[in-house]
Amino acid sequence: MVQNFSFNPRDSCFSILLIILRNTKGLIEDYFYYLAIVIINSKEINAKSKNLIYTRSHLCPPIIGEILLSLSMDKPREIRMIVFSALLTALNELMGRDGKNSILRYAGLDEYINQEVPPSVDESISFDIFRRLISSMQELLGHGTHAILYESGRKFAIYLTPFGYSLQDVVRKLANWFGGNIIINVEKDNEEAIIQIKNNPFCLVKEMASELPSCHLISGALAQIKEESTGDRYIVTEMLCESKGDSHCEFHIFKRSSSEVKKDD
Amino acid sequence: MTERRYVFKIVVIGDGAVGKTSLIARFAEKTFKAEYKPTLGTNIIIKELKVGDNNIKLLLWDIAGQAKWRDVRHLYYRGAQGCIVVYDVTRPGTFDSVPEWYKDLIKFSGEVPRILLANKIDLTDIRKIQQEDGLKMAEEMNAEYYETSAKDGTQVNEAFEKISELILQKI
Repeated sequence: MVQNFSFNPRDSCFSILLIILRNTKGLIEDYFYYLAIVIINSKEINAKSKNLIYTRSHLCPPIIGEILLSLSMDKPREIRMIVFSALLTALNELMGRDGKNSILRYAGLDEYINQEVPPSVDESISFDIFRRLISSMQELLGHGTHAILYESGRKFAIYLTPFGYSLQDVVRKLANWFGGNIIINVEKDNEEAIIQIKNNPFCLVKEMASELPSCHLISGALAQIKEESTGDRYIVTEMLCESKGDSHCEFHIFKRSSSEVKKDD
Repeated sequence: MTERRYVFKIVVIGDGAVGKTSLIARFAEKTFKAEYKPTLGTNIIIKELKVGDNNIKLLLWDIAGQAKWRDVRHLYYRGAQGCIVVYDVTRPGTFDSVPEWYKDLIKFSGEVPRILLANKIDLTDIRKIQQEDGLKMAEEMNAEYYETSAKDGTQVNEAFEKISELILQKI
């Protein structure tokens, strides 16, 4: 298919742009990324040129495929409001109105204090806002304990997917709600499961480099999701974590024996 | 000597309306509001403090005293490094509850440094719990004892500074 393309100046411009994209990082990368999206979506560009980009992205990984992959290594740019809303509702239930507001205030998100956030799947919120909330939770709730973050994660899962979807389904939804920039892999899904998350939006990689895995919120959420879908009790242990320099976060989900559950109850 | 930075989580517990929120507001913001507004869940206030060469960031957890929060309250205690138990000297019921609060503290936070605060001592005319009762209770809890007034600020700073010192000594 690629060999059918005839060269023209516009195509070469795209190639140059793609090479720049491939070799730039950080803010410049973001700038060109958006520029490329604008160009691709522009009415000025004919269908053939669009095809060139999309086809090359499919057939020629060294060109745009690699670029898009490298771009996807970034955290998502925005998340769906449903995720933000579920998190605030979970906090409200566990910490009360004052607890939730303390976390929002510390995050500098005063505009959400005492304000209902619609659980819309269509609207989005900037990733920075979500990040500030997670960071604030980690600092205020995670000091000296994992328990509150883990329990917040459980409540969060209940509000996020209240109807007991399977782990696979929730993982698919999460990837969608986070704009597809995160890569979630379910290694197996029966009595035990392993979930790998690359670009974990809940993981405070740069902000809080840690010696120990620190994604207690998502651990709690995964335990709850698994329990909702099976009716059994599970415990989640994070084995690898981006915050301690691992390439991805990895969660191992184990079914709890009836004696363990009885002891706890 | 090098300056050191610490973050301490301190839980402030006791029955509803004993003045926990007012004590924290007096210490952290130097304010006092007479009207009572119950805390819903927990309120987390941050206050920076310098003790000797140590810069301390206090995470003050103002924990709701109302019974409706009993089921989740144990989570708030986790990770606490110090505790302030408060009662109201004008309401004997709040003093009688102190052992229950103390029991919960030991169960969920362990043997952390603690202070017993006899609050509202400015209300001298209607005071019901006397100093000797408070001191006896503090001794049973192995706690320091302070008599405070969030309204006029009596001994409030001293109590919060003391708990910070006690935590520092334990590190």
